[in-house]
Amino acid sequence: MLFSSGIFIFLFLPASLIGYQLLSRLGRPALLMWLTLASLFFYGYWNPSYLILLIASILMNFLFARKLGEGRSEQSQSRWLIIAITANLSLLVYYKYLFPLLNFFHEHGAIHRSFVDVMLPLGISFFTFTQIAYLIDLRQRIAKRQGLLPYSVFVTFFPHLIAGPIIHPRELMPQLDEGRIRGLRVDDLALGLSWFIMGLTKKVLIADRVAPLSDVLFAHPYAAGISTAWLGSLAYAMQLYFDFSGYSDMALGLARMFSLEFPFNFNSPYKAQGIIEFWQRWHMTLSRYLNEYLYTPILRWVNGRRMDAGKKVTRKASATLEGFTTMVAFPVLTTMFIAGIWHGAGIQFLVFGVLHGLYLTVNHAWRIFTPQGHRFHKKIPASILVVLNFLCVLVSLVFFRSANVHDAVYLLGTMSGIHGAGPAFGNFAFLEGIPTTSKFLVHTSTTLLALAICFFIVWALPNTQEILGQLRADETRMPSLLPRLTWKPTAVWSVGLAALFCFVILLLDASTRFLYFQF
Amino acid sequence: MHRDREQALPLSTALRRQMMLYLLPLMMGPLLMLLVGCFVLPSKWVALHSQNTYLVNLGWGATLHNANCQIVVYGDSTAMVGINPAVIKERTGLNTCNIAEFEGMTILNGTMVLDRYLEQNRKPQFIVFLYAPEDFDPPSQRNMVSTFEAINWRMGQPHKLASLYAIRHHPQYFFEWIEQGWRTVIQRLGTKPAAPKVVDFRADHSGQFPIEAPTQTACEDTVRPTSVPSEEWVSGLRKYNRDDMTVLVDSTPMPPCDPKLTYFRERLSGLIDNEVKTLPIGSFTTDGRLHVNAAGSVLLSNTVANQILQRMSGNSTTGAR
Repeated sequence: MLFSSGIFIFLFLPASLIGYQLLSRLGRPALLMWLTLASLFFYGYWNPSYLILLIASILMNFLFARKLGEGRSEQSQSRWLIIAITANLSLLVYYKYLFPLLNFFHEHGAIHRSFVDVMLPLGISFFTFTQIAYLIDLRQRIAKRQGLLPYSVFVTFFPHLIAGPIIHPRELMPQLDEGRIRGLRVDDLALGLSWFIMGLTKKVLIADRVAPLSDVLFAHPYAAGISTAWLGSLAYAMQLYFDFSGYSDMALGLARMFSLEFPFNFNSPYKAQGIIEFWQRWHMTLSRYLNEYLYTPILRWVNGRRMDAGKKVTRKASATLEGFTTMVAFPVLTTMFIAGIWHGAGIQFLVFGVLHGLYLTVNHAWRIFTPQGHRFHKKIPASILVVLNFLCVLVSLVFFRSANVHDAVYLLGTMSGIHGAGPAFGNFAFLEGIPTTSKFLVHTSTTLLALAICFFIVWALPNTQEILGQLRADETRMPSLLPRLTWKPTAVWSVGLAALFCFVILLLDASTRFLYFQF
Repeated sequence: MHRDREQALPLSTALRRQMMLYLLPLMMGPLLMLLVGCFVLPSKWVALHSQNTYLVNLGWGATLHNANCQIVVYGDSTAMVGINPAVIKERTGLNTCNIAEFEGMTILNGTMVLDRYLEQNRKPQFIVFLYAPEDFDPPSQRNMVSTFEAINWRMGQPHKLASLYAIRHHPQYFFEWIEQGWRTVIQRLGTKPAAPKVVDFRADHSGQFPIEAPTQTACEDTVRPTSVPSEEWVSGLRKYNRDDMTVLVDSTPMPPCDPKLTYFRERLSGLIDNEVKTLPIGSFTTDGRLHVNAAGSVLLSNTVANQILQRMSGNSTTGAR
């Protein structure tokens, strides 16, 4: 069930909220049970057969969790943790990588028979990662062992089940404790619904409207001229941004309707002035996950080996070529290599990951070898850094979206002019395939205008959490053209958002799946 | 700012009231859109201003009063496009009405149009049910057709709640109808209503809905689903075999090169009253649903006329019934 569907908005969401409120009189177990059942229904609506997989995964990890945490020997815990992680990753590998990999070998003549891919269960990466994090946190005594009901809510709660954010046990579990979880609060409902509408608007009104241009470009990359290649790639960059940030806003808004708080997952990444900052703003919970459960363990392992060899692991040591290579470049590249694979079974995703690994390494080199106050720093205006960073990301997104590496390389060649100017945008034959709800994309002027509006929103306006006043006390708003634009539960905001909501609903049937559902 | 969850205080009455007032338009706006849509979208105004020939002529058979046709043809779009009542009348001498609808209507609303016709007119001697071979299993066709017009007609009938209940298994149809319908209304605000020749299109063609499209030249493009005909569904059609009405359940012809010809001949054998006949590929159009063109229409209408003449002379040679 999509957040951006009539069934979800008019049937599932009201029913789940009403049920939650009615059951609040019966106490915490009833609320947890309701949230679990509602979330399982939400998941099973897509394909009931995969509900069994989800439930089995929850039960399996719940049982593994009994072997971890307090009261168990260190050795036994480590053993069980390895078994649990192996079991979880095996499930992920089977559904996500095994058959594409076998078919890859088949295509290259390594094996003779081909295989039919199994259907990828929605959200398998997300619920697998969430549960692995729980088990590791238990092992490290950061998290407490939970009962089956709160654990089920932690894993299945529908706002984050399919595409994140990837929640830490310490973020959600305390909110499910006795006395904390209760019925609906009208202020949370107001804030959550407003948040949801803003996210829905991003998805339906922007992402889905510009998507057809990137769809036709990446379906026919060899027919595009330089202008089409650029416009289509920029359209994809905007589609992905508004699709994913819209989804994240909706997820956070939905959780807030139930008076539960999720961590931010998106914080104006295209305003970043460097790739390190970009990853601190893009899919923030994934970046955090990669940092905590991949990068940090790899770095610890590297540092341990260095210390065993009698080498230093200080900041100063990392500023040498040898130290930088082992303590910075190696962990970063390895982490991003794995992050690339996580995004999908295809060499293009691997290239995407490695490319970002290289970007990060260069950015770290800049940070380490030209420390704060260096004379180079003041010579480059922030706007140039933002644009440069965006272009780097754009190159990586061409790989991310292309069907294969060959298509991506060809398209990048077209964008750089290697293949000549090619046909003008208006002569790109496949524009005919653009649906009526995005017909503005068939003319150069209106396409440019649409993309200009997207860039204006991305670069010049405050983001959703800034507008909604949800920044943490230690965070400040980024510079924007509307620094005082702040949501308030007033008549103007209510009528404005209601009108927007109605307008967006008119386009729901022309909405598509969220891009991150495929991961 | 982030609220400290431990210190979440109860809201004051004034703040609670303010929040409730804030939420009211956010919740009621979309709901009103659904509610008002149920009354506005099926209205004559929307149909006329849509300038959509299908929409304006939807459920034409249900609007007939005292037409008193002796032969009534009902079925899917292959019948609606293909049957020329004038040809059948000329051959049989019986006044003929083509009240068939396109597939969305037959799937969603079954025989409601026919039932309404029968309520408002003298009982015919013959009811000919004519469907494409793959449509004898209507549920399998759901993915192939637009349901907007069908729901629009249904919601325009009395007892809206019953109409809503009828689509309870496919709630997305209802929401898609509302969304597309309101978009049409907004786009058509300020436009002129459809011209009389659009409004009277079916009446002017004796109920036939001819479609102009290029002639089909090969079977490569003909993709029919492998549906399994439903005996139960065909039995439902035969229930009209009462009050001296004779029911014929027929399949529309296929081109000889259609790869599913043998399959459907075998599947439909004994179930329907004709056999799945063939018409030359040049009798069909390329509009995607293998409708017949003008030449094909004459052939198809004559085929039905022959069948009725055989029945009238008590000399039925095809089919089991």
